[in-house]
Amino acid sequence: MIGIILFIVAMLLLFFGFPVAFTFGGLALLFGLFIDGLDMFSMMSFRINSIMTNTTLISIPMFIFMGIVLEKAGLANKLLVSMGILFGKIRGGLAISTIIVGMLLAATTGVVGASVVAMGIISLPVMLKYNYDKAFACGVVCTSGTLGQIIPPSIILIILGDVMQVPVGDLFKAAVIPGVLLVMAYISYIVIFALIKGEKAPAIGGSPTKEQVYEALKAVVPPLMLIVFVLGSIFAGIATPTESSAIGAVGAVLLALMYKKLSFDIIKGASLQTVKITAMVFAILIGATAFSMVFTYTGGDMVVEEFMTTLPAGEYGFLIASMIVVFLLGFFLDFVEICFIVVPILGAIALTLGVDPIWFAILIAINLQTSFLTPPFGFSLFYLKGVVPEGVRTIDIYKGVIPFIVIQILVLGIVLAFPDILIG
Amino acid sequence: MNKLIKIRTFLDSISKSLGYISAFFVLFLALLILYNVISRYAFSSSLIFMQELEWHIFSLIFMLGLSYTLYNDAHVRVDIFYEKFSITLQSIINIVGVLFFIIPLCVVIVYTSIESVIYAYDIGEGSPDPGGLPYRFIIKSLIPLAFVLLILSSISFMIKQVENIVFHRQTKHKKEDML
Repeated sequence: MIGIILFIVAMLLLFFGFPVAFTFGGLALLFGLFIDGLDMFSMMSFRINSIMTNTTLISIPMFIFMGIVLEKAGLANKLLVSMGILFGKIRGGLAISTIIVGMLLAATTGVVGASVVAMGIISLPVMLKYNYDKAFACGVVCTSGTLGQIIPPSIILIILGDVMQVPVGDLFKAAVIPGVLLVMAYISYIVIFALIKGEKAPAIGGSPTKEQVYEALKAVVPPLMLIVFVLGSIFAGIATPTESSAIGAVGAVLLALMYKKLSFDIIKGASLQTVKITAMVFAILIGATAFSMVFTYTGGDMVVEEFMTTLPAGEYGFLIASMIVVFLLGFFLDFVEICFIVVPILGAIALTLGVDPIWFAILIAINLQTSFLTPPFGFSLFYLKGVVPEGVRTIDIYKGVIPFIVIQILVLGIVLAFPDILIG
Repeated sequence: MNKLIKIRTFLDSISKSLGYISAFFVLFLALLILYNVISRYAFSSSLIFMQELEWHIFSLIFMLGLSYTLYNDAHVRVDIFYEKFSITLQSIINIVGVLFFIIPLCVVIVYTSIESVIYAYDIGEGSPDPGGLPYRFIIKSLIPLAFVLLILSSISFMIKQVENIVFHRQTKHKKEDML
């Protein structure tokens, strides 16, 4: 029971806003010292040591670096402008191009905040200028930004792979179909919306000229090739995710060179930013380690397991309950915290129940992505709020994301009902 | 107060240089892994110690980065309410947090990890694989070292909070640091 109390107290303390990593770690420590003295933590250095020697996790700083370099090289801008021209002449074309760019950015940079901000600054004003419905345009931007969570290579999948003890490459592979499914569902919705309410998502301009098509291809093909190379080498088993991540990092620098954006400042800035984000992630992992030691030591995991396994409908009862828990926590916590603190507890139960860990991990990833989109707390909404042009109200953003949340839940349901599609 | 600011400036310069060292290692790590991949395929040779060097460098990045991240106030927070609090309240929360959470956590980690460093040194622990890196105690001593440095960085962080209260200054919280 003490473990459960620890968890609840930690959740409450989080709202004071002190960094999550230290709130969880420090509080667990105080609880542990109080219960059983220092003995409980004698394994702490071994646990940290095993984080240090974990070769899969090495891919995290590499993929972060790759993303930041591409972001700083102005990839989002380039892609948005050229894709906008390509799709402009069809109804809802700007929205479709935003989704497609969102998908490309998800695979290359994977930085949700940066993607939403870039699209909010570049695409949103263009859509509004051509009389797109405000809510609709905001929904499109928010949604396409969150794709970075699910489309590989994503940090969330690497962490989930580590936590669930499944090969990251398998997880990347399993995420491809749900990711594409989501993108197709978004685009279908946009096409239907534009057909019915043409005035809210009008076509712009005429057919692109040959030069414009060429320019667009020049913007799209290099990053696409980088991503095919990185993912392809993992899927083909030529390189481990860690090796591919380093190839991606160096590839990103070459791409920046090609775009004539490479400078010492970009590399320096990207490396420093990588250090910050990486240390932030691993601080949470260390804090979560201290937490889970106390949680397990005091039998908290048994309490949760007992509860979760007595739910009606067995496996599905557990899955649905876990999805609800993760969804709600996603309002307040970043995916890093959820993956390191909550998923290990749920994952252990999933294994006991014989739930396929890959399937479970993908469900969690889609779920978190949905949670990031859901008002009033979704992270993606906050990012967009920060950059919307004047005249767009918060309520427009909230209204705009609702259809996309419905789509998310539908896709989540499909993956839940037909786990076989993941193998595809 | 001036003395405190001097101490903070000194401690900050440590955190900053740790950040730059780690940043350099990010690049170095990318090239190292790339080199290992190429040498595996092109020369079909893979040196165990070169591969072990990967995780050595990787641990340096995030362990030394801990202090730099605190210096930048980039450890992720749940900021729904926090960002609406007054600067004074924010600063008080931060001071209490450092005193009750960060410092005890660091002290315990330093205390419990020193033993394993000494043990690794005594038995002359090296890599379990032939051709691996020797002197495991060096990389193991990174654990206590990193957390001593984190204590230093958190002291400077506390001084910054005191300054915020005294001078009513606003610390900037950057959204773009989040993923």
